[in-house]
Amino acid sequence: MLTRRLLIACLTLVLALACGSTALAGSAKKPKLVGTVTAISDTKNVKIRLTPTSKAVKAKVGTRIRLGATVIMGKGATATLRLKRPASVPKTRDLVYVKSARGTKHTSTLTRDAKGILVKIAPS
Amino acid sequence: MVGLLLTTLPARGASSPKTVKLSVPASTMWMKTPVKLAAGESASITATGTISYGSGDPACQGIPITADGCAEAAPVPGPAGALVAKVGAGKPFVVGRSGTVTGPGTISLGINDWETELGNNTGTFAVTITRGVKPRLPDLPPATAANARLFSAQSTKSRATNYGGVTVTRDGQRYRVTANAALQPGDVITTDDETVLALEFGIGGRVSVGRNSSIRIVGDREVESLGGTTVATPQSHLDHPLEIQTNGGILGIRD
Repeated sequence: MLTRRLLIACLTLVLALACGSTALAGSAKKPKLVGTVTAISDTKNVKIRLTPTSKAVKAKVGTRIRLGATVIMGKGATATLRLKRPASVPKTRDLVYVKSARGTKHTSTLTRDAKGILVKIAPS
Repeated sequence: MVGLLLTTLPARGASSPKTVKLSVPASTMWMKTPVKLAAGESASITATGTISYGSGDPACQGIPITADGCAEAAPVPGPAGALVAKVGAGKPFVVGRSGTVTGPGTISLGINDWETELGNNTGTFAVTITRGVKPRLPDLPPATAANARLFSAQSTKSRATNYGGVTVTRDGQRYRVTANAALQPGDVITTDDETVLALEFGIGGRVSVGRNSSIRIVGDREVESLGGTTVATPQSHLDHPLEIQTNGGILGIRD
Protein backbone atom coordinates (compact mmCIF):
# COMPACT_ATOMS: atom_id res chain seq x y z
CA MET A 1 0.00 0.00 0.00
CA LEU A 2 2.78 2.29 1.01
CA THR A 3 4.76 1.42 -2.12
CA ARG A 4 1.73 2.18 -4.30
CA ARG A 5 1.23 5.58 -2.65
CA LEU A 6 4.90 6.32 -3.04
CA LEU A 7 4.74 5.40 -6.73
CA ILE A 8 1.73 7.69 -7.33
CA ALA A 9 3.46 10.53 -5.47
CA CYS A 10 6.59 10.10 -7.58
CA LEU A 11 4.61 10.02 -10.83
CA THR A 12 2.70 13.18 -9.81
CA LEU A 13 5.99 14.91 -9.00
CA VAL A 14 7.55 13.94 -12.34
CA LEU A 15 4.43 15.12 -14.21
CA ALA A 16 4.39 18.42 -12.33
CA LEU A 17 8.07 19.03 -13.05
CA ALA A 18 7.58 18.25 -16.74
CA CYS A 19 4.62 20.64 -16.97
CA GLY A 20 6.56 23.33 -15.13
CA SER A 21 9.57 23.10 -17.39
CA THR A 22 7.34 23.25 -20.48
CA ALA A 23 5.61 26.32 -19.12
CA LEU A 24 8.94 27.96 -18.35
CA ALA A 25 10.26 27.21 -21.81
CA GLY A 26 7.10 28.65 -23.33
CA SER A 27 7.25 31.86 -21.31
CA ALA A 28 10.95 32.36 -22.06
CA LYS A 29 10.22 32.44 -25.78
CA LYS A 30 7.51 35.07 -25.49
CA PRO A 31 8.91 38.62 -25.37
CA LYS A 32 7.95 40.76 -22.39
CA LEU A 33 4.94 43.05 -22.52
CA VAL A 34 6.00 46.66 -22.96
CA GLY A 35 2.71 48.40 -23.71
CA THR A 36 -0.66 48.52 -25.37
CA VAL A 37 -2.44 50.24 -28.22
CA THR A 38 -4.70 52.82 -26.55
CA ALA A 39 -6.25 54.46 -29.61
CA ILE A 40 -6.44 53.70 -33.28
CA SER A 41 -8.16 55.35 -36.23
CA ASP A 42 -8.16 52.71 -38.91
CA THR A 43 -7.69 49.14 -37.77
CA LYS A 44 -7.24 47.93 -41.34
CA ASN A 45 -4.23 50.12 -41.79
CA VAL A 46 -2.28 49.49 -38.60
CA LYS A 47 -0.45 46.21 -38.20
CA ILE A 48 1.90 44.79 -35.61
CA ARG A 49 4.73 42.38 -36.28
CA LEU A 50 5.84 40.59 -33.13
CA THR A 51 9.31 39.68 -34.43
CA PRO A 52 11.09 40.64 -37.65
CA THR A 53 10.21 37.26 -39.15
CA SER A 54 6.67 36.85 -37.88
CA LYS A 55 3.50 37.70 -39.77
CA ALA A 56 2.02 41.18 -39.33
CA VAL A 57 -1.40 41.14 -37.69
CA LYS A 58 -4.00 43.89 -37.55
CA ALA A 59 -3.89 46.00 -34.43
CA LYS A 60 -6.89 47.24 -32.46
CA VAL A 61 -7.45 49.12 -29.23
CA GLY A 62 -6.12 47.00 -26.39
CA THR A 63 -3.66 45.02 -28.51
CA ARG A 64 -0.69 44.22 -26.33
CA ILE A 65 2.73 45.28 -27.56
CA ARG A 66 5.66 43.04 -26.79
CA LEU A 67 9.36 43.88 -26.64
CA GLY A 68 10.88 44.37 -30.09
CA ALA A 69 7.56 44.47 -31.95
CA THR A 70 7.20 46.62 -35.07
CA VAL A 71 4.13 48.79 -35.57
CA ILE A 72 3.52 49.27 -39.29
CA MET A 73 1.48 52.36 -40.09
CA GLY A 74 -0.53 52.40 -43.29
CA LYS A 75 -1.85 55.29 -45.35
CA GLY A 76 -3.87 57.79 -43.31
CA ALA A 77 -3.81 55.74 -40.11
CA THR A 78 -3.28 57.16 -36.66
CA ALA A 79 -2.52 55.28 -33.46
CA THR A 80 -1.59 55.94 -29.87
CA LEU A 81 0.67 53.62 -27.93
CA ARG A 82 1.36 53.56 -24.22
CA LEU A 83 4.78 52.11 -23.45
CA LYS A 84 6.58 51.29 -20.23
CA ARG A 85 9.91 49.57 -19.86
CA PRO A 86 9.77 46.59 -17.51
CA ALA A 87 12.47 46.77 -14.83
CA SER A 88 14.13 43.64 -16.22
CA VAL A 89 14.62 45.21 -19.67
CA PRO A 90 17.82 47.24 -19.99
CA LYS A 91 17.51 50.95 -20.83
CA THR A 92 19.52 50.41 -23.99
CA ARG A 93 16.93 48.08 -25.54
CA ASP A 94 14.48 49.43 -28.07
CA LEU A 95 11.01 48.72 -26.73
CA VAL A 96 9.19 48.96 -30.00
CA TYR A 97 9.78 50.03 -33.59
CA VAL A 98 7.55 52.23 -35.72
CA LYS A 99 7.64 51.99 -39.48
CA SER A 100 5.63 53.72 -42.18
CA ALA A 101 4.31 51.52 -44.96
CA ARG A 102 5.84 52.05 -48.40
CA GLY A 103 4.97 55.44 -49.82
CA THR A 104 3.60 56.83 -46.56
CA LYS A 105 5.05 59.19 -44.01
CA HIS A 106 4.10 59.48 -40.35
CA THR A 107 5.10 61.62 -37.43
CA SER A 108 5.57 59.99 -34.04
CA THR A 109 5.19 62.36 -31.10
CA LEU A 110 6.79 61.03 -27.94
CA THR A 111 5.89 62.34 -24.50
CA ARG A 112 7.12 61.00 -21.20
CA ASP A 113 4.92 61.08 -18.13
CA ALA A 114 4.65 59.25 -14.82
CA LYS A 115 3.17 56.19 -16.52
CA GLY A 116 5.91 55.85 -19.12
CA ILE A 117 5.95 57.00 -22.73
CA LEU A 118 2.96 58.08 -24.78
CA VAL A 119 3.50 57.74 -28.52
CA LYS A 120 1.05 59.41 -30.89
CA ILE A 121 1.53 58.39 -34.51
CA ALA A 122 -0.21 60.39 -37.21
CA PRO A 123 0.23 60.93 -40.95
CA SER A 124 2.55 63.79 -41.88
CA MET B 1 47.40 58.91 -78.49
CA VAL B 2 46.48 56.71 -75.55
CA GLY B 3 49.10 56.47 -72.83
CA LEU B 4 50.60 53.19 -71.72
CA LEU B 5 49.24 51.43 -68.66
CA LEU B 6 52.32 50.41 -66.74
CA THR B 7 51.28 48.70 -63.55
CA THR B 8 48.20 47.66 -61.71
CA LEU B 9 48.72 47.19 -58.00
CA PRO B 10 46.42 45.46 -55.44
CA ALA B 11 43.22 44.82 -57.28
CA ARG B 12 39.80 45.39 -55.75
CA GLY B 13 38.12 43.74 -58.66
CA ALA B 14 39.01 42.80 -62.18
CA SER B 15 37.55 45.99 -63.60
CA SER B 16 38.34 48.38 -60.73
CA PRO B 17 41.97 48.31 -59.61
CA LYS B 18 42.71 50.27 -56.41
CA THR B 19 45.94 51.79 -57.70
CA VAL B 20 46.76 52.49 -61.32
CA LYS B 21 50.11 53.75 -62.59
CA LEU B 22 50.35 55.24 -66.03
CA SER B 23 52.35 57.69 -68.06
CA VAL B 24 50.88 60.83 -69.56
CA PRO B 25 52.83 62.07 -72.59
CA ALA B 26 53.30 65.83 -72.79
CA SER B 27 51.67 65.83 -76.22
CA THR B 28 48.41 64.39 -74.88
CA MET B 29 45.13 66.13 -74.26
CA TRP B 30 42.39 64.07 -72.63
CA MET B 31 43.77 60.62 -72.30
CA LYS B 32 41.06 58.37 -70.87
CA THR B 33 42.30 56.37 -67.89
CA PRO B 34 40.88 52.97 -66.89
CA VAL B 35 39.63 54.49 -63.61
CA LYS B 36 35.87 55.01 -63.50
CA LEU B 37 34.60 56.48 -60.25
CA ALA B 38 31.15 55.88 -58.79
CA ALA B 39 29.06 58.80 -57.53
CA GLY B 40 30.76 60.26 -54.47
CA GLU B 41 33.82 58.02 -54.82
CA SER B 42 37.14 59.82 -54.71
CA ALA B 43 40.63 59.13 -55.97
CA SER B 44 43.97 60.79 -55.40
CA ILE B 45 46.26 61.63 -58.30
CA THR B 46 49.99 62.16 -57.92
CA ALA B 47 52.36 63.01 -60.74
CA THR B 48 56.16 62.93 -60.89
CA GLY B 49 58.66 63.66 -63.62
CA THR B 50 59.20 66.66 -65.85
CA ILE B 51 58.30 67.63 -69.38
CA SER B 52 59.53 70.18 -71.85
CA TYR B 53 56.84 72.69 -72.72
CA GLY B 54 57.12 74.10 -76.22
CA SER B 55 56.76 77.82 -75.78
CA GLY B 56 58.24 81.13 -76.76
CA ASP B 57 57.72 82.43 -73.22
CA PRO B 58 61.01 82.50 -71.24
CA ALA B 59 59.08 81.45 -68.10
CA CYS B 60 58.46 78.04 -69.68
CA GLN B 61 60.88 77.63 -72.56
CA GLY B 62 63.84 75.30 -72.25
CA ILE B 63 63.34 74.38 -68.60
CA PRO B 64 62.10 71.10 -67.15
CA ILE B 65 58.52 71.57 -66.00
CA THR B 66 56.94 69.58 -63.20
CA ALA B 67 53.24 68.70 -63.14
CA ASP B 68 52.65 72.01 -61.33
CA GLY B 69 53.34 73.77 -64.64
CA CYS B 70 54.89 77.14 -65.38
CA ALA B 71 53.70 80.74 -65.43
CA GLU B 72 52.02 81.17 -68.78
CA ALA B 73 48.43 81.48 -69.90
CA ALA B 74 46.78 78.18 -70.76
CA PRO B 75 43.31 76.93 -71.76
CA VAL B 76 42.46 75.49 -68.33
CA PRO B 77 42.68 78.30 -65.74
CA GLY B 78 46.04 77.70 -64.03
CA PRO B 79 49.68 77.19 -64.98
CA ALA B 80 50.65 76.08 -68.49
CA GLY B 81 52.10 72.59 -68.88
CA ALA B 82 50.48 71.43 -65.65
CA LEU B 83 48.75 68.08 -65.33
CA VAL B 84 45.02 68.62 -65.79
CA ALA B 85 42.10 66.28 -65.24
CA LYS B 86 38.39 65.99 -65.80
CA VAL B 87 35.90 63.45 -64.52
CA GLY B 88 33.38 62.24 -67.07
CA ALA B 89 32.10 65.21 -69.02
CA GLY B 90 32.90 67.54 -66.10
CA LYS B 91 34.83 70.79 -66.20
CA PRO B 92 38.62 70.35 -66.54
CA PHE B 93 40.82 71.52 -63.66
CA VAL B 94 44.49 71.63 -62.73
CA VAL B 95 45.70 68.68 -60.64
CA GLY B 96 49.39 69.61 -60.49
CA ARG B 97 51.71 67.25 -58.64
CA SER B 98 48.89 66.01 -56.41
CA GLY B 99 45.15 66.37 -56.21
CA THR B 100 41.88 64.62 -55.48
CA VAL B 101 38.99 63.97 -57.85
CA THR B 102 35.46 62.84 -57.06
CA GLY B 103 33.08 60.79 -59.20
CA PRO B 104 30.93 59.95 -60.99
CA GLY B 105 32.74 59.34 -64.25
CA THR B 106 35.93 58.19 -65.90
CA ILE B 107 39.07 60.16 -65.11
CA SER B 108 40.76 61.75 -68.12
CA LEU B 109 44.19 63.35 -67.89
CA GLY B 110 46.12 65.75 -70.07
CA ILE B 111 48.58 68.60 -70.29
CA ASN B 112 47.41 72.16 -69.91
CA ASP B 113 48.16 73.39 -73.41
CA TRP B 114 46.29 74.54 -76.50
CA GLU B 115 45.30 71.56 -78.64
CA THR B 116 47.08 72.92 -81.70
CA GLU B 117 50.29 73.46 -79.71
CA LEU B 118 50.61 70.03 -78.12
CA GLY B 119 52.96 68.72 -80.81
CA ASN B 120 55.95 70.75 -79.60
CA ASN B 121 55.91 69.29 -76.06
CA THR B 122 58.15 66.37 -75.09
CA GLY B 123 58.50 64.08 -72.07
CA THR B 124 55.97 62.32 -69.86
CA PHE B 125 54.55 62.56 -66.35
CA ALA B 126 54.42 59.35 -64.29
CA VAL B 127 50.96 59.38 -62.73
CA THR B 128 49.55 57.27 -59.93
CA ILE B 129 45.80 57.17 -59.35
CA THR B 130 44.61 55.69 -56.06
CA ARG B 131 40.89 55.22 -55.74
CA GLY B 132 38.88 54.91 -52.56
CA VAL B 133 40.42 57.99 -50.97
CA LYS B 134 38.05 59.79 -48.66
CA PRO B 135 37.89 63.47 -49.55
CA ARG B 136 38.75 65.70 -46.62
CA LEU B 137 35.62 67.61 -45.79
CA PRO B 138 35.62 71.09 -44.29
CA ASP B 139 34.73 71.57 -40.63
CA LEU B 140 31.07 72.26 -39.84
CA PRO B 141 30.68 76.02 -39.41
CA PRO B 142 28.95 77.35 -36.27
CA ALA B 143 25.18 76.95 -36.37
CA THR B 144 23.13 80.12 -36.70
CA ALA B 145 20.10 78.67 -34.88
CA ALA B 146 21.40 75.65 -32.99
CA ASN B 147 18.76 73.45 -31.39
CA ALA B 148 20.68 70.19 -31.00
CA ARG B 149 24.20 68.93 -30.56
CA LEU B 150 26.11 65.85 -31.51
CA PHE B 151 26.24 63.98 -28.22
CA SER B 152 28.39 60.99 -29.21
CA ALA B 153 29.52 58.90 -32.17
CA GLN B 154 30.89 55.42 -31.85
CA SER B 155 32.37 52.77 -34.10
CA THR B 156 30.36 49.57 -33.97
CA LYS B 157 33.52 47.56 -34.64
CA SER B 158 36.05 48.98 -32.20
CA ARG B 159 33.55 50.62 -29.78
CA ALA B 160 35.81 53.66 -29.87
CA THR B 161 34.65 57.23 -30.37
CA ASN B 162 34.47 57.81 -34.12
CA TYR B 163 33.32 61.16 -35.48
CA GLY B 164 34.99 60.39 -38.81
CA GLY B 165 32.04 58.23 -39.80
CA VAL B 166 29.55 61.10 -39.49
CA THR B 167 28.87 63.83 -42.02
CA VAL B 168 26.49 66.76 -41.86
CA THR B 169 25.01 68.28 -45.00
CA ARG B 170 24.10 71.94 -44.56
CA ASP B 171 22.87 74.10 -47.46
CA GLY B 172 24.01 71.45 -49.93
CA GLN B 173 27.58 71.27 -48.61
CA ARG B 174 28.95 68.24 -46.73
CA TYR B 175 30.96 68.85 -43.57
CA ARG B 176 32.86 66.76 -41.08
CA VAL B 177 31.93 67.07 -37.43
CA THR B 178 33.51 66.88 -34.02
CA ALA B 179 32.16 66.24 -30.52
CA ASN B 180 29.40 68.61 -29.38
CA ALA B 181 28.93 70.01 -32.89
CA ALA B 182 25.99 72.41 -32.88
CA LEU B 183 23.21 71.41 -35.26
CA GLN B 184 20.34 73.42 -36.64
CA PRO B 185 17.06 72.79 -38.49
CA GLY B 186 17.70 71.63 -42.04
CA ASP B 187 20.93 69.78 -41.22
CA VAL B 188 21.07 66.23 -42.57
CA ILE B 189 23.18 63.90 -40.43
CA THR B 190 24.47 60.74 -42.08
CA THR B 191 26.36 57.78 -40.64
CA ASP B 192 28.58 55.34 -42.53
CA ASP B 193 28.43 51.55 -42.36
CA GLU B 194 30.23 51.26 -39.03
CA THR B 195 29.20 54.31 -37.03
CA VAL B 196 26.25 55.00 -34.75
CA LEU B 197 25.59 58.36 -33.11
CA ALA B 198 23.41 60.15 -30.61
CA LEU B 199 22.01 63.68 -30.82
CA GLU B 200 20.71 65.65 -27.89
CA PHE B 201 18.08 68.34 -28.28
CA GLY B 202 18.27 71.57 -26.38
CA ILE B 203 14.80 70.92 -24.96
CA GLY B 204 15.80 67.44 -23.82
CA GLY B 205 15.45 64.09 -25.46
CA ARG B 206 17.92 62.08 -27.43
CA VAL B 207 17.81 60.57 -30.86
CA SER B 208 20.17 57.79 -31.85
CA VAL B 209 21.00 57.09 -35.45
CA GLY B 210 22.03 53.62 -36.58
CA ARG B 211 24.60 52.57 -39.17
CA ASN B 212 24.08 53.65 -42.79
CA SER B 213 21.28 55.94 -41.69
CA SER B 214 20.29 59.49 -42.33
CA ILE B 215 18.10 61.99 -40.49
CA ARG B 216 17.14 65.60 -41.04
CA ILE B 217 16.57 68.05 -38.20
CA VAL B 218 13.18 69.56 -38.97
CA GLY B 219 12.48 71.83 -36.03
CA ASP B 220 13.26 72.52 -32.39
CA ARG B 221 12.06 69.07 -31.39
CA GLU B 222 11.48 67.31 -34.68
CA VAL B 223 13.62 65.06 -36.82
CA GLU B 224 12.84 63.25 -40.04
CA SER B 225 14.21 59.78 -40.62
CA LEU B 226 15.39 59.64 -44.24
CA GLY B 227 16.56 56.04 -44.13
CA GLY B 228 17.99 53.42 -41.83
CA THR B 229 17.24 53.26 -38.12
CA THR B 230 16.47 56.10 -35.73
CA VAL B 231 15.94 55.58 -32.01
CA ALA B 232 14.15 58.16 -29.86
CA THR B 233 14.47 58.47 -26.10
CA PRO B 234 12.24 61.20 -24.66
CA GLN B 235 13.32 62.71 -21.36
CA SER B 236 11.33 64.18 -18.52
CA HIS B 237 10.14 67.35 -20.19
CA LEU B 238 6.38 67.11 -20.24
CA ASP B 239 5.86 70.33 -22.18
CA HIS B 240 8.14 69.39 -25.02
CA PRO B 241 7.29 66.19 -26.85
CA LEU B 242 9.81 64.79 -29.29
CA GLU B 243 8.61 64.40 -32.87
CA ILE B 244 10.10 61.95 -35.33
CA GLN B 245 8.95 61.61 -38.92
CA THR B 246 9.33 58.15 -40.36
CA ASN B 247 9.87 58.37 -44.08
CA GLY B 248 11.53 55.24 -45.35
CA GLY B 249 13.30 54.50 -42.07
CA ILE B 250 12.47 52.68 -38.86
CA LEU B 251 11.96 54.42 -35.54
CA GLY B 252 12.94 52.61 -32.36
CA ILE B 253 11.61 53.86 -29.02
CA ARG B 254 13.45 53.51 -25.72
CA ASP B 255 12.25 54.28 -22.24
